Amino acid sequence: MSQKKLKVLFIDDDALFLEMAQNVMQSFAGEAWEIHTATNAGDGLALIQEKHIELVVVDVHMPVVNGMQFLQLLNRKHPNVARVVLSGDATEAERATCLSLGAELVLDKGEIRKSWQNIFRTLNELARVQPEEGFRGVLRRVSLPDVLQMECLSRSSAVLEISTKSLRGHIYIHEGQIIHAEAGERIGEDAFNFLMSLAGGEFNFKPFHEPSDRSISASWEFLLMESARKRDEAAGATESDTKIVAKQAPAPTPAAAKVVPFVAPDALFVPTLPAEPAVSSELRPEVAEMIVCSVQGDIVYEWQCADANGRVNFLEFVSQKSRQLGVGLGLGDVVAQIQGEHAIIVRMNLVPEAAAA
Amino acid sequence: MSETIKEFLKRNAKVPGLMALAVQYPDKTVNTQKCSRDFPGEVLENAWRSLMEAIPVLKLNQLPSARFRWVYTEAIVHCEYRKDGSCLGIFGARGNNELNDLEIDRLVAEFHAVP
Repeated sequence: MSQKKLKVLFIDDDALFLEMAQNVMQSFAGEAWEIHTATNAGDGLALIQEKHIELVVVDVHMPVVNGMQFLQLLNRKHPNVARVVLSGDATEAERATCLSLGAELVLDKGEIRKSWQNIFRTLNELARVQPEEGFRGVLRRVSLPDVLQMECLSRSSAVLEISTKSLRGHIYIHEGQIIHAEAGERIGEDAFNFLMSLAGGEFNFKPFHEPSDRSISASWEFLLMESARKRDEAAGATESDTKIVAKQAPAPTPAAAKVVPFVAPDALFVPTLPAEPAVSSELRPEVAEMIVCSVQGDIVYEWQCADANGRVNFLEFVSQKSRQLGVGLGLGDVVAQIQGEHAIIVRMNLVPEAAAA
Repeated sequence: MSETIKEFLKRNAKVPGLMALAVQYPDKTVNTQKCSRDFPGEVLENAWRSLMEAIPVLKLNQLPSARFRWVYTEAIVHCEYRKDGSCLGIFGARGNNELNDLEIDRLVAEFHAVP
């Protein structure tokens, strides 16, 4: 019985490099990989859609749409595709940005040419340890209204499939107009508003086909505004619940200094030495910022967070990286969750005792 | 320098509870030392390189990166930078045969002292 092939796509404007990558990687992978190549982001996106690509290796420096922009596009349209960035001369800031945007690895092109076999092993291992579920692919990377707006503005025709653990719904878009929605027993605007109110889930674009009914006639602009209004109303109704969660966060007391300050859903990540903190007795921690978010990445509470989305991205990065390592090295499962469905960052500064008092 | 570091890695390979050690040098090359029979040494180098990718992300988020720790149910990975830019990774067991904190402190201190 033949094993399922891993579908890999290399995207680079350097056609010679692509040809070499395809030939060399195919020689290592044999029948285990199905390798595709594209010389630009547009062709790459089309191949991802058409061939159901599982792993993308993209050059960071390309004309028109560069690797970082491409990662953002992937986050929107294909969040479950594993991605690796190739770089010849990326700065540390560019590398960090790529990783924050969901790249699993940033590979140096020079290193690749030196050791193709090592790169093959790395990519193969990466594909092997991809989590089956997790933070990735949820709606928070880009909101559903953003996705719909993008599709409508570009006058696309597609079926947006939205799924959660318990439900699957569809929004039909024809030449930039939302013409039908269905979710369980709901149809029309009721289904549309219901789907837009989901806090998390996954979505996929599928080729357009005529729905059984055209249940929506309002403009997409009206529909999006109306669903936003309904979401705001619903959020107002649950605001008191949210505040209760926030009040349960650890208080900024000296005792809290012993609490691990960074917690991701599946690993503790401690940027200070917890065993024997080299902290002067004259210093005490002072909470500088705090953010609590759901596993879907929705912000439940934030305080003095200058870049809340950046912090959520960071939590996601830690979540994914720790899962990869845990699976790859057999280090075990989830170790700590402050609350089962929340991730939290508390950043603390050490300030002189007198100043903090 | 790397020869001395290699000796440091070999010298500590028998520490109870230690699963593996890894070092990344300033030029991004790495040395690894498997210390436990059960540890998947074949993926250690790649895993260590992958873990080191966290550093620029920490910096991007303006978070301290001189030392940090990943804690799992069965293991911890303690990462410690020193001034020359080398980074030590200590892969220690938790639970039975746990790598104790004093040993981690000793390894870290020794790493900082190795020329």
